[in-house]
Amino acid sequence: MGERFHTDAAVQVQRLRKSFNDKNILKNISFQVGSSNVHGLVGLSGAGKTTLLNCLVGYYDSDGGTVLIHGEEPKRDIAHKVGFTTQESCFYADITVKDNVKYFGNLYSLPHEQMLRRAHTLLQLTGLQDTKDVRAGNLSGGMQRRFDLVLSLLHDPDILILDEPASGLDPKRRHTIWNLVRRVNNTGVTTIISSHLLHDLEEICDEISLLHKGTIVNTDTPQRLRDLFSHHFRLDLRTTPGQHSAILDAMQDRDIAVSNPQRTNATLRVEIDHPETVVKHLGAILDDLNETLLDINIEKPGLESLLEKVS
Amino acid sequence: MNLPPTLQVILAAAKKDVNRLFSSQFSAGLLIAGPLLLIGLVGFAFQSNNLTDVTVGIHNEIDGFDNTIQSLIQQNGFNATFYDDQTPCIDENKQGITAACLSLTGNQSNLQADVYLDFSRSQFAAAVLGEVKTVFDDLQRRKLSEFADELQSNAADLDVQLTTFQDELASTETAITDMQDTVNNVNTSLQSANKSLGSIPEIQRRLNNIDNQLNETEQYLTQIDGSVQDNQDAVETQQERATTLLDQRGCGDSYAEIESLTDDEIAATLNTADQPTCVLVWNYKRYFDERAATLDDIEAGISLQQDKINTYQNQRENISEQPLTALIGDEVQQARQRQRRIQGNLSQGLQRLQSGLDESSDQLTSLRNADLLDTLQGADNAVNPVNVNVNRHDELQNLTILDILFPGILTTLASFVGILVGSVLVMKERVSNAGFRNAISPFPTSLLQFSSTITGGMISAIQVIVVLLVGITVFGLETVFTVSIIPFLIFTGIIYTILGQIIGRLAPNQEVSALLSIITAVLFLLFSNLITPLEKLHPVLGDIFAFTPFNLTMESLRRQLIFGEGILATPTTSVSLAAYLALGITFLIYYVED
Repeated sequence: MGERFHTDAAVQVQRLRKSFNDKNILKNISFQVGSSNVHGLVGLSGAGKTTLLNCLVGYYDSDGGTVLIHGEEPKRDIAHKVGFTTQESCFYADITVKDNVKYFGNLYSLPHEQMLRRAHTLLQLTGLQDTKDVRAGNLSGGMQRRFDLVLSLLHDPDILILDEPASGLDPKRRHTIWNLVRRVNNTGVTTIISSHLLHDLEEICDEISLLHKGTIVNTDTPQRLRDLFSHHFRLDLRTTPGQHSAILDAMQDRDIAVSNPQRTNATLRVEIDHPETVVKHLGAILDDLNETLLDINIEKPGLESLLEKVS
Repeated sequence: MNLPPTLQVILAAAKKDVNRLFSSQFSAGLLIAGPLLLIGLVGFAFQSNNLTDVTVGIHNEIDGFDNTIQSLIQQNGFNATFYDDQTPCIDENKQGITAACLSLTGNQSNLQADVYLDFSRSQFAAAVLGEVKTVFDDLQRRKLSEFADELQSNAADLDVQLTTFQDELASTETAITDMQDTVNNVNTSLQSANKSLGSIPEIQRRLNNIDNQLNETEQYLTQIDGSVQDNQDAVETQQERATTLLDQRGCGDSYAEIESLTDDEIAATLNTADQPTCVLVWNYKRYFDERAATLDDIEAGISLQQDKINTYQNQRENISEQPLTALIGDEVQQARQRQRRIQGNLSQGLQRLQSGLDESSDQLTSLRNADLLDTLQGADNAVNPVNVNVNRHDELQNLTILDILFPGILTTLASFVGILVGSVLVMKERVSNAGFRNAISPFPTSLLQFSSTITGGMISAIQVIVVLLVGITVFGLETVFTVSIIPFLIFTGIIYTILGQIIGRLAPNQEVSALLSIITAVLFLLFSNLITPLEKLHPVLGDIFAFTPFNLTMESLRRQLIFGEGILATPTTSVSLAAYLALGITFLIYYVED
């Protein structure tokens, strides 16, 4: 990984528009990504995330607005600066890992020796060093995502764009992918990630843009987004025999402000402004009602809740 | 865009395409072994025209000819199987037991030879037909020799026959004179018939008189008959009255005997009778009885006369139905027509006979004066009026069917491999997710597509070259192989690959792409001179199909491999193929980039 310099915004998007068959997919999208940052794109299915990424790399021509990569429009000569991993593995499944590496390395006009060295480094980084002679289609799902990442980084891009890189993977493999992304980002590669796995993005992203129906609703840090959209804590309470109505009445008697009560099986979920009062009175309330506590959880809502509210 | 990186990308993409095509052992094996298997089978089938030991069925109805035909068949390297009937001979040919069925009918002087071949085994049948023809050529020569011998032996008898013919002609002349006499007799008869015709009006007049008399007699008889009837009625009334009186008087049978008495006796009886009234009445009755008998007699006479009149009338009516004049007139007319016909026929017959006599006389003179040896020397022309010689071009003298078919086989291989590889490469690219990574690469997609085109063209060319070399080394093909044919094969391979790529682009899925590729290649093959002679098609269609890439390739390969000409020797073909290449590349560039 070469040394990188933090300059102005690596990616600048202004008033970007794109439509298919008179249907507006992207409506005046504007945001920017700082150099060496990890930027998340969050949105429900059909929000326009993939279309936006395809416009960023020049696969789609936009209907209006501008996309600047390091201050330049993403034409073919910019391809050397951008690496892109799509939702599905983007390589030839019927030839070996080594042949894929050679082909795509040549596609970026990499000198042979340099290509081999970089491929070796990346394969080691992703734990795929022993799979050179394996047919790419025979790799496991997690390996294929990692190999896709290798191919995206093969030409040493300044910007890495990942479209749902951990989609369909189990938590352990997702964790592996995010670790890789972090390690790549630590080398100075600006990273844009589209994902619906919000909890993961909260941990890895410097900034997140909320995309909803072709529009950026907001762009901010994960923490500030949470603060912005919610002041409530969420309390999940599971007791036996589970007199949920009596519990709620007892809370009100003790001036504990609760809202949006929801009953799911044996669990009572409420939103509260002051969780400490609950901690203070909960024991007495349950004791008065002869309820035995089985489980309790209290937390601030995540981005999932934000999206639910937005939608 | 610098050339080296571009070339590097083209080579890398070509290598990738080859890797993908050969990614499975089965497909690799099929690609390599398929064409070799093809050439092996074709080579085995066509490597030689040697039909030795092929069995030919013979059905011979000509007495004493079995040995002759058998020796001819065996002399030409065939085995012979004889059949008593034609049907099993033909059936076993259909079943492939025999290569052909020869049916010989007629007689030795007028031989009818029919050859039955199973043309569903077209190439084999054609080869057999060629060999069987030599049998008939031998037979023809033998028949010619026999004909010459027969002509010589018959020449001596010819003079005798001519003399006899002249005698017969003289007799014919006498017979004609007799026939002329007959005609004269017919004329005499006709004159007599004409005289008879003059008495017909008198006969008619007499008949009319008879008619009138008959009518008058009939009327008279009718009147008499009416009077008799009246009298009979009156007599009958009186008879009844007498009977009534006899009853009223109680006469009974007394005095009945008076019926047999004379008048005097009756008078006496009357005077003496106790009941004289009875006598009177009896007499009264007797009178009327006698009168009634008389009337009956008269009526019978009238009836007899009436019958006679009826008979006369019937006869007269028969005469009226066919008037004598008409009957006699028709007969005379027919007799006259017969007379004219006989006279005409006789006249024509005489003329013909005279003409025939003159002609025969001339021929006889000519034959007597002709040189018999010259006649015999011209016998060959008499038997074979058209002398046909089939000559091969010098370049084709030693070529086998395989040699001649080989340009077509190579073209078939190039077209099938090129089209299929082209469409497969495109479909593989379309269904692969790697297409996106290609699309956002620094190089245009059309360049990568062109790389696939080169790959397909090379694979097609290599296959064709391998087959060509195997054909030359293993099967000893008599073809003119030069290195300059290699770029031509790559060139045509690229054209077919582009066609396959276009099919792959247009097809909605892999299955349709494969099917369309095969259909296209088969259509090329079907509408080629290899399968369908273009001359048999409508002239416009023939001209169009002559410019399919398949026919252009095959024609060019034929010129190069058989006649040893360069690609530039057929500029129209080369330019047409180049136009196809330009069109294909243009299509791919614009279609892929869009």
